[in-house]
Amino acid sequence: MNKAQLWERQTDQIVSAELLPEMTPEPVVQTGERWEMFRVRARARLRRKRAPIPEHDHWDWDEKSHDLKLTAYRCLGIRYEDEVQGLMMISTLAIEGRLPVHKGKPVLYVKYIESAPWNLKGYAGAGARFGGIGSSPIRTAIAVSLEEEFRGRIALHSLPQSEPFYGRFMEDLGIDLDVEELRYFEMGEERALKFMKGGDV
Amino acid sequence: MADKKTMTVNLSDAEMRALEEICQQKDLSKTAVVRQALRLYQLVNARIAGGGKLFVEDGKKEKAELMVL
Repeated sequence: MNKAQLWERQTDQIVSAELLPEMTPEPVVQTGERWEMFRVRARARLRRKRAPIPEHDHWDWDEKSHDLKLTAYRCLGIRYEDEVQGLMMISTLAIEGRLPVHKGKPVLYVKYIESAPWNLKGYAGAGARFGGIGSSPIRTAIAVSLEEEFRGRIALHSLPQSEPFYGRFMEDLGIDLDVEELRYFEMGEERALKFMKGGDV
Repeated sequence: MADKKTMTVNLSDAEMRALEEICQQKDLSKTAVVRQALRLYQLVNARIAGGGKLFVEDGKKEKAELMVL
């Protein structure tokens, strides 16, 4: 798996992007810096309009990249036209499944998924470029879960802004009081395999 | 994933039984369990080297510190 599909909103076309399966800290930090430059301008515009600022605005990939020296973490990227369009950090140190169907079994944990700010309506408004940055990494996370013998099982905690998205294809196990009161989602092997087969971008 | 290398590991009967038990519980191969163990050990080691402490919480939300060598 070395390709990811993205939906170009303006042309309504699906484009094939390159999947970067294991990014080292340096390009992750550089990507975070490029995104931050865009965000600074977008943030100022949003403040002038008194529009809400996306909840993950404070995410700092420089800080997050420190964990990449550990084998428990891995960062994957989606690149199109020499620009990283999305990043995902996963933990290949399994967590225990909570769904009754696979309780106690290893599950791959998705720590962070972020789309480049120019792809998000929250920053770029109607000019947002690509969609599908959320579902392509999910597909990749399932593939890594299969590779790690976790049978496609994945889990994540979602920011409130992304809950409706993950709720479409993952099981909502409610608010997790132990993790910043974020909603916890899990996907079992059956749904994971269906998701892999589906054309949902 | 990066290229893999093969190695031989010598385990006592008790250690092999423990490994097989975990494999069965978690539905993982021996290689996958060893990988998990290594990732966990490296993570804990790094956190402790950075001044962190390792705690295990029981069902009553009481914490006990663990010593990790």
